[in-house]
Amino acid sequence: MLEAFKKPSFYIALILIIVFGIIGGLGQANIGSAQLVANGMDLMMWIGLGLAMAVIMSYAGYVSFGHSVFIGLGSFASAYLIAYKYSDYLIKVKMAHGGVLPAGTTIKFFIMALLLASVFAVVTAALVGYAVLRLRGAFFAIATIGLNYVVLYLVIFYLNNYIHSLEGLELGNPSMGLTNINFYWMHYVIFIITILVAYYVRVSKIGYGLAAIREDEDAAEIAGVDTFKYKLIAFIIAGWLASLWGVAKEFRGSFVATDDFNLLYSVIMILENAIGGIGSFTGPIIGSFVYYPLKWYTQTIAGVFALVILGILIILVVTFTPEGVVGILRRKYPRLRKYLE
Amino acid sequence: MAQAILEVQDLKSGYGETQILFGVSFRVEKGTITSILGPNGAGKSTTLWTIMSVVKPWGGSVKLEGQDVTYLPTHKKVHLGMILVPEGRRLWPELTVEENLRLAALIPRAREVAEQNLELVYNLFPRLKERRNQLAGTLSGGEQQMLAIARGLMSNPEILMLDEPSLGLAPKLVQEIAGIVKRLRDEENKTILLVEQNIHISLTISDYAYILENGKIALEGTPAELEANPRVKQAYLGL
Repeated sequence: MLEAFKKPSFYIALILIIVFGIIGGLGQANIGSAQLVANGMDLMMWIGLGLAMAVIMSYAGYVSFGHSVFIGLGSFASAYLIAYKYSDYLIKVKMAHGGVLPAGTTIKFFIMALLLASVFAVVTAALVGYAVLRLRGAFFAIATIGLNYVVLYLVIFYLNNYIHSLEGLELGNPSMGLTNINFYWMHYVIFIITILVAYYVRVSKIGYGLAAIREDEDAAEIAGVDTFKYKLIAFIIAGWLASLWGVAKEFRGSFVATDDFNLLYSVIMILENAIGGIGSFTGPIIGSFVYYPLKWYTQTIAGVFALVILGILIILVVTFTPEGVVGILRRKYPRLRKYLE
Repeated sequence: MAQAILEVQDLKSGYGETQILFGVSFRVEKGTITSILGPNGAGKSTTLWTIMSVVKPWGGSVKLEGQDVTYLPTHKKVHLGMILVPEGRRLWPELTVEENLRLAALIPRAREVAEQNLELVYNLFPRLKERRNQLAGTLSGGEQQMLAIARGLMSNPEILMLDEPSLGLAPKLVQEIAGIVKRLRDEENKTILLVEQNIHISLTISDYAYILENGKIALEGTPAELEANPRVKQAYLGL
């Protein structure tokens, strides 16, 4: 297993981990501006979500259009714990400590939220994957869109009938009393998990099997790949990773349970993979570095027209560079292949 | 009778409501080349896909070395050494030649002998060695067929099933591929099931052959017997 992390293609992963570590360090030492820290967090999240999607879409060739459901499940898990189940307890602890939650409590609840999100995501992905991964191509994509709404309305039904909160769990939302840099390190932990898992899946035996499925599923089957099992593993991992980012979003934002079941997130994750190049680990990373600055500037300059620009970008990418940035680089510079896994 | 590696009895299957195979029976003995020949649409490819469970069998049996494997899932059959080189090659075009080969050797039975098998296929197909870092999709038709066969060998087959390896190739390349199939039997002691429309070339290298028509075996015999049969002469050999 360690072999995988000694390949040259791991350099890019390592560089990212170091760079975002340095940004965090600058923020911690009050050298980096608040803006730098905020942008760093956003970028980590977009890279992380892009990689989560990559495991199923880019590695295995199955577009999970409703993948936002897993971000939503992560959000719901954290909101449930913090704004409902342990809300009173947290407020009491906060009072006892002069209005600030002790770091230990925050970390404990962060880990609890990650675990609960993981359970939700893995169970959902396993059940749903078992049912729909026998479908191919467009049918799978459509089924996952359905999944997103089914789970969203189940959550809303649960909230309305059992917790009596209409849209979410914003009531009793205890601010976790964290500074920006604390959020940054939370993102960073999830970022490292995502990078290591996504990279390992790509270069391991599973990654090769998934590549075979993506290229020609029948051929993979007659080459001895248990295609159904591999697809299911990929879908579970992709869902699990996305759910962790749902937790990060909630801790940083507010604990509203239903915010993140938004197909726009799926579109962006798909776009990042399409820009960067299908089939690679580096693809969605490059895709995020293209998408995020563009989004940031267009939002600043153009406001609501940012979405128009996003739409145009999708059309351009699909029309002119179906193989993506990594695809082009690999074709033009075969020597780069070993770095661009 | 020598030991049969593969024994197919009364195999029936089809797509949806349409039955294609109406009880196909044949056997393949160890270390031989056995051919299934016949016109387009006779059910040759369907026979192979059914043997491999990609098309679900409706009835009949498939035995590998005496063991009933009819309804095992495809990947389990592959793990037992039933290796199909499909028609139209079905390579992974965006992967390199060597990645295609190594992927085929990931199954348990092939993993430990992967290096030996890699040496074997590079020996048989020196051109693949020259092109090992090239994407499979950029190879010529003949090279792609070689890679498809090489990929089959990387899976360390008990029985290697070749579906129309001559399809779409120039006559000279067909001869070359036939020579390699013959070498696999003579030098490597492989067992081969060859499915072909090109009856001429198949009969020159086969030990035994079956003729499939309308989803049933119509005739069988050694190449000499079949070549002497007036019906075969008239319908297939154009004599």
